[in-house]
Amino acid sequence: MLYKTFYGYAMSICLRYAGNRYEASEILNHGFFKVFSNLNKYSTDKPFKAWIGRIMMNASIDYYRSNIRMANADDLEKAENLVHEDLPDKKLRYDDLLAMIQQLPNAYRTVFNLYAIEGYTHEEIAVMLGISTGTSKSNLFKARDKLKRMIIDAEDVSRDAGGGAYSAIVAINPVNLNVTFFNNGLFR
Amino acid sequence: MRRADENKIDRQFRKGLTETEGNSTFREEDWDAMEAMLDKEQRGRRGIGWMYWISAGVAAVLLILMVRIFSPSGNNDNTTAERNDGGKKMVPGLADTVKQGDQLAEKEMSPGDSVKDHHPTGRKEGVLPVSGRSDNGYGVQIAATGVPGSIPVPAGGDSSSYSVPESIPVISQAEPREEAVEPEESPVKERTENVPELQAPKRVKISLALVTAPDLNGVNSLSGGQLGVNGGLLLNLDLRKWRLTTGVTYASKPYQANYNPQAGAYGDYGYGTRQLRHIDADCKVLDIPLNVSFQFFARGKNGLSVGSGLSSYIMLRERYSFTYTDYTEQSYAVANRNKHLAGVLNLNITYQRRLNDKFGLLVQPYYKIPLTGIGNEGIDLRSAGVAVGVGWDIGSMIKK
Repeated sequence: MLYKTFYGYAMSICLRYAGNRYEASEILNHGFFKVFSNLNKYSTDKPFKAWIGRIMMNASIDYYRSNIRMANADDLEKAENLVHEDLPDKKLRYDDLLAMIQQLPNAYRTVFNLYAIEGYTHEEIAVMLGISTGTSKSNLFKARDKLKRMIIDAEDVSRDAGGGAYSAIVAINPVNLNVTFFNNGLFR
Repeated sequence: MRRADENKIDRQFRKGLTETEGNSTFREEDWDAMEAMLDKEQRGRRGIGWMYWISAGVAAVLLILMVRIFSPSGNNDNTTAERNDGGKKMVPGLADTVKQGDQLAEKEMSPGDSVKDHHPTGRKEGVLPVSGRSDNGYGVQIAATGVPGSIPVPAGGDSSSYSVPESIPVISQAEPREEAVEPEESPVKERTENVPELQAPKRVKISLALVTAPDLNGVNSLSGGQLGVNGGLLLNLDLRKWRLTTGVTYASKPYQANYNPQAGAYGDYGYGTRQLRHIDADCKVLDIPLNVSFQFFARGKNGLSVGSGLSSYIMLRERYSFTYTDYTEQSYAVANRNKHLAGVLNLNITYQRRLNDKFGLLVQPYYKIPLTGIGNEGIDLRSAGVAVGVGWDIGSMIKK
């Protein structure tokens, strides 16, 4: 079954763009719906997996396309400065990274995915999302800033707990579906 | 496509999130949702298919109706009556005689028989005094008697020489052809010149109207309504003072709405303190109305009527953009997913002005009130506007 075969791959893409698993499932099904509807348009000279991946990405963009508030120059500068701080070299696990990226606001998360993971330019992202390149840059820097803070906070928590590996325990924040990290068993 | 930069955070997330699919294990509930989505789409397509066939059926019925009304057989009753009138003027008793002859022909003639076989006097063809016009209604009666091939039709389409075996001798012997033609042409001419007066009250008139309508669209009310536009083709069937209207109009219905907790609209959106603040939407709709109106005022070329009916909305495309209280936004669009059969109440008042015997103008203020939730969001989408259009009386064209 096509759906089951590519479910894991497609879901891993949707989870990166979604705020939580439920939204990811919705995006996934909209993406597969497009897959089923456009199977006759698939060209065999391209890898089928890559084709599905592209459809999932587009479904994610469709889901989260929005008019994002314009960032002012101060925000941009502040965010850019912040990402120049040193980061801990600790290697994070997939679940930790996923939980962090899902904690980002939708606009930041979408731009970060497209720029940092998919490799699009700000000009391309601006066209895809219907925003300005300045907004794209601003959102990327803010996304990096937030991610950096999460990594540092997670490192601090890990250190306080004796250096054990931290794992994400997801708590839904009703304001914007934030994901909060706690160390193993340490609710404080 | 840009080559990934060397930013440490970017690299860390890129590698960490793409080198593995993580624990995205298959979940049956996701497939169930997928199946439901596919089923809904199939039902939607079936529904649209049904609409297509229903529309085709309605069109076919209307076409048959038009053919029936304007074809020779459709004119049969009226022309017979008119012919009787004319005959009475010309030759008292002719109409009765002809009618009697028809009946006799139906009784006596059988398929394969020729007219001459039933013509006691061997009458010449073309002596019935209606040869000045090509009234095809007679021809249809010939077919009904089962002797269509046995009667040569004179040039000019006058097939009236067929089936009056008993009465024709009286006429043909009593009146030479030339004398019979003259008095008959007068009532025919008179009938042609006075078509509207004679036939309008008794027959269904068909007209087409090309309309366009700017309108305001709003949720729950029209305050702050957004301007949309409609355009389409309407078919009117008029009988005396009543009018039945159907057709298809394409409508662009943009609208905005602010979240109002008291109104209850969009109450299920938002998470916790994050609530819906505002919605922008644009819907492309096929509006298929079925309205009945009554003309309560008519003077000269002007008329006023009041009407009501139901519209079916076929939602072609719907685009929604939600703004939340934290200023995040979310958009989505669907196509061909929703339809609302007889889901909208129409109220209208129509002013009509006749320009000539073929064309007229109409101005129609209208108000559309949904009887069900409209679109994917199931909102109370109301519309009010003024349709303006040009009407074309098909009947007046065909009769000429």
